[in-house]
Amino acid sequence: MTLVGLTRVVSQNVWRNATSLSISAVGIAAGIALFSLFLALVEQVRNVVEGDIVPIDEVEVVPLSSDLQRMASSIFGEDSFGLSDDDVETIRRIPGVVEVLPRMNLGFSAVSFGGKALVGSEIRVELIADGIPPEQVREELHDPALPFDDLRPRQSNRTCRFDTDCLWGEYCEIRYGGPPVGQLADADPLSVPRFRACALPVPALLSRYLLEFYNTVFAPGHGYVQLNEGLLRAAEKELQFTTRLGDSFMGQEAPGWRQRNLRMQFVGVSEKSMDLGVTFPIQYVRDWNREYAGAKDGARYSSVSVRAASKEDISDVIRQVRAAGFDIKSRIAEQVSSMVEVIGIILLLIALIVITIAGFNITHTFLMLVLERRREIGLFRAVGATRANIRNIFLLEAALIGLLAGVLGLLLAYVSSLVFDTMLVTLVPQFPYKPDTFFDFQPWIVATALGFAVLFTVVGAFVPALRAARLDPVRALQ
Amino acid sequence: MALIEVEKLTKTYRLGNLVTPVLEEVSFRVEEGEFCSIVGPSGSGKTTLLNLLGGLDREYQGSLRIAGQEMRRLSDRQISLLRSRTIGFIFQSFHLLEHLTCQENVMLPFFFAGRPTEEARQRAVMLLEKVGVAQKRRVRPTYISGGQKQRVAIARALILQPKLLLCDEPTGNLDRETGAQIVELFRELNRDLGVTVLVVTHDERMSRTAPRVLRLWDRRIEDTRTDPARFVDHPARASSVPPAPAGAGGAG
Repeated sequence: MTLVGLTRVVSQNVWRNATSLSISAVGIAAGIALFSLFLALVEQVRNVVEGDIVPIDEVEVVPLSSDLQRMASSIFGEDSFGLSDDDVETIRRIPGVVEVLPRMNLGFSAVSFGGKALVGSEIRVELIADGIPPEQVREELHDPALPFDDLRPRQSNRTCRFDTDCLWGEYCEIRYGGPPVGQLADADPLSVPRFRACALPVPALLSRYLLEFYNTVFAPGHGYVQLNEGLLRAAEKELQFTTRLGDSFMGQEAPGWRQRNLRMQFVGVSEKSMDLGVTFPIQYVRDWNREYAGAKDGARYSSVSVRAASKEDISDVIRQVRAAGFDIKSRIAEQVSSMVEVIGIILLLIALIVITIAGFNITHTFLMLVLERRREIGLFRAVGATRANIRNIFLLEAALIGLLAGVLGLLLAYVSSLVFDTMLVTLVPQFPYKPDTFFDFQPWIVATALGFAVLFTVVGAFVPALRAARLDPVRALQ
Repeated sequence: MALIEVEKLTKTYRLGNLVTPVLEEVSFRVEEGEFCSIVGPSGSGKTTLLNLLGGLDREYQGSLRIAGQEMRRLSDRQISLLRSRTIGFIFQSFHLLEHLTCQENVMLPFFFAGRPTEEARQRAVMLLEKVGVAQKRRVRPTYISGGQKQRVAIARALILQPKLLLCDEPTGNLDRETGAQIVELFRELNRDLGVTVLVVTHDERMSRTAPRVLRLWDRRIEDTRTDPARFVDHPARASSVPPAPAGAGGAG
């Protein structure tokens, strides 16, 4: 039988039985609509969770944190806890690793304040911060006016008494000479040299997470202005804030006379910035740690962020990182994404039940059709149709209906997604990471939905098709 | 080689414990180019015999060969191929598909034979002209008369150039005059195309015009070759037709 002939017969049959077929196809379409809508929802939730909140293709490598090692390092007084440049190189060479980002935590306390010009009120917070090599965000931030880099080689360092003594963009900073704070002991404050020099504000990065947290939790509670990246970019000058190194609201602090103020400048939002804190170029953090925490080894990193080529590679990378003698910070991403998966599976099961019921409906409709077309089937057999021909006619008919139902279902899903999005945007208040859309119709979702529509219709029509093929032509023609 | 060779063909219907014999050790041969009618009272097994000959029913004892092939031994694919290439069916109730035009109905066997649509269209037009309903080819069967329907059905049976036309009461649903025209058409096709025609009928006129009559009676067959000179007019076939074998059939 030619394909053209088969297609002709089939399309004529579908057209002829349009009413009864469309009724049973509606079930499939509804099931497929649910199916693709749920898939798109899960996909989008996963995008937001894994892409923005907790990138799943990233892990944070930390030194092996056995108590024994900690004890040893404290006994021998070695400040060797951390990762060296060699360690970073070892991690970089692990197959599947595409990016390593050494991080250095701020090892002492500091307090930041500012923001009055921008949000209308002075905010004071304990500073949580770390440092990363500025080269690693250079591609991301392309505003030449606000570089994220160690700016100290560029600043004038000229002696000053007030900000007005300095060049445009610089401010007058207090600096100390002499030993680090930890080694001061009972040093006489007057013996420590103290001077003022012009300096450029320290560039700082903000994480999207922090921005989101501020916008949805902090700002509404205090009646502050909401911020977005565009606004941040427009408000350069207002984005300066002051940090008092060595000060703290709660814990250890350096002697008051040894605390000093630094001016800082937000230069952008980056995924590489630490989540609940700000990130500086690593050179600053290294020097401040030497000055205030007395860190001997400035080349030791507190952790290394590792990005794998894909999320499929990440478990392999984790295994090799552990084999190389490092540890992995516990990953919320895994827990969250497995939870999303479980919810997704439940939703998909519901959709599959709907499609299965619709499939039985197809079976019923096709059984009726076979009964209705008995004589026709008998005639087909008499004019040379094989059993396979008869079966294929019904299966192809089912496939065609499945495809049409699938397309209809996808359209239905898409329209409902638009309705849901509009409702959620207008009716549901802002919450952290609230996306613009809640559905992501990936091409694979469309393909899977169509595939399932065809599959379930064809499977549903299988028994009737076999029955049609096995029909005794003599009886069929009576 | 005869087109139809039937030897000691026995057919029984079983319904639970009830066994009903329909045909008992029926034997006959039909040569290519013959025009032959099978007559008998209703319930004598005429239609059963026709279904067996067409391979629609393949449960029988004895031997039944069409074009040299034992029907019982053929696979579904082979029997479908045989039906499509060798046999054309014509039914009492026409069995035209109401959702197709007359021309599409005629073209139908072509789809299952896996042959190009364009060829089908050309042959359909030619055959519809031959059977005299060319002007109805774009019309659906609902809108044409019974005689015209049967003509369309005949064109459909002929489209793959079969050697054998099996006709089950082709005039049964037609009035006398139309029936006579259809019979005349069969004669014409037999003469012009050399196609072997086997007609099951209780139409007396038809059995009278047929050169050869097989009478089914009491589950047996009686072969009456009425007029050897009349049974084929086709010159190409005339030489291949053997004289009537004496005492042919399973009557004795």
